[in-house]
Amino acid sequence: MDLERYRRQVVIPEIGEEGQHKLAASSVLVVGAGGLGGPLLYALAGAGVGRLVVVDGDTVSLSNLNRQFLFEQDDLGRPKAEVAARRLSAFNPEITVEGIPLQLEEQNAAELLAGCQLAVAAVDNLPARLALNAACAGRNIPLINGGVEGWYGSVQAVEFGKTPCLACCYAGTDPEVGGQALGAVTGTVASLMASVAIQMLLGHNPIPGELLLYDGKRMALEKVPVERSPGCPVCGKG
Amino acid sequence: MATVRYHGRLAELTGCREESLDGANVSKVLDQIKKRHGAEAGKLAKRSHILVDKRSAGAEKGFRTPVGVDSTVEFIPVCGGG
Repeated sequence: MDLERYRRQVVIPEIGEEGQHKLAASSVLVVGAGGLGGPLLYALAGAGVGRLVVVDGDTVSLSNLNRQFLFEQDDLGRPKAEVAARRLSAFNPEITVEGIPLQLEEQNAAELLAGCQLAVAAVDNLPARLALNAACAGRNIPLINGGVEGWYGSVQAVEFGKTPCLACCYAGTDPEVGGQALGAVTGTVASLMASVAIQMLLGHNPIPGELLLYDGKRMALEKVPVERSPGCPVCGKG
Repeated sequence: MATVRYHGRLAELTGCREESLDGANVSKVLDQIKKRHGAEAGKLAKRSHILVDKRSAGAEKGFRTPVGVDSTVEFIPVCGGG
C-alpha cells in the first residue's frame, strides 16, 4: 500500500496508519451501484477499503445519468456492476473491486456476503433490502441502509442484537412509491453512508439506534431514536 | 395528549414540526391530522414511517398501535429509493 495516496486521511487522529491498514484489510458488500451506490463506492474506494463487492443487476439507462456519477453516456445499456468495477479499479488500482451483475435475492445473499465484514444497502427496492438484512442477521454482519425520496434521505446503521434492524423499521411501509431522485441529494446521503461505513470499519458506530434524517430542502440533519421491535421476525428477542 | 412530530414534507404541509394531538391509537391520530391539516397531509402521514415511542408502528399493531397521553409519535418520510 502506498501511504502517500492516503496521506491526507492518515493524519486524521481516528484513522492513522493503523486505521488505514484496517481499511485496506476490509471487505464490503455494496448492493446497488446507482444514485447512492455510485458516490458511496467512490468514497470507499478512495479511502482505500481493500475489497469492494458491487452487486447490481441493472443496466445503465438514460434516466440514471442525472445522479449516477459512475456512468457516462457511452455506458448506456451496459451492466452497472461491470462498469462500476472497471471505473473504481481505474480510480484506485490498489484495491480489489468485484462487479457482480445480479439482483440480490434471498437465495444468493449469503453467498454474496462471503468474506465481507460490512454490507451496505444502496438499492431501490424493499425485497432486496430485507433479503440482505436477513442474510446479515444470520452472520452477524453489520449493515448500513440508506434511502432517498425527493429532497429527503435517511441512513441507518444496524448492529444485530444491539440496534433495530431493517425488518423492525420497514414492517408495514411501502418505500418504493415515489421514485423522486436528485443527484445533489443522493450524493449527500451517499456521503453520509460512506462516513458511517468508514467509521464502522474502524470499530465505531456513530448512529447506534438512531435514524439519521437528511432534509435537503431545509439543509438540516436530525437523529431520531428508534428501538428494536420485540416481535421482529429477524432480530426479535422473543 | 400525545406529542406528534413531523419530518420532511409533512412538516411543510402541517406548518409545524411538533404539536399535541388526541388519539388512542395511530389510526385516531391520523384522523386528527387529516381533520386539522387536510386530506393531503392525512394521506402523506398514513404513508409515512410511523414511530410510536421509538418503535415502528408497522412492526407493532400497525394503525391499531396504542398511543398514550405521554406518547411521542414521529412521522418520517419513507426513503426507499437509491
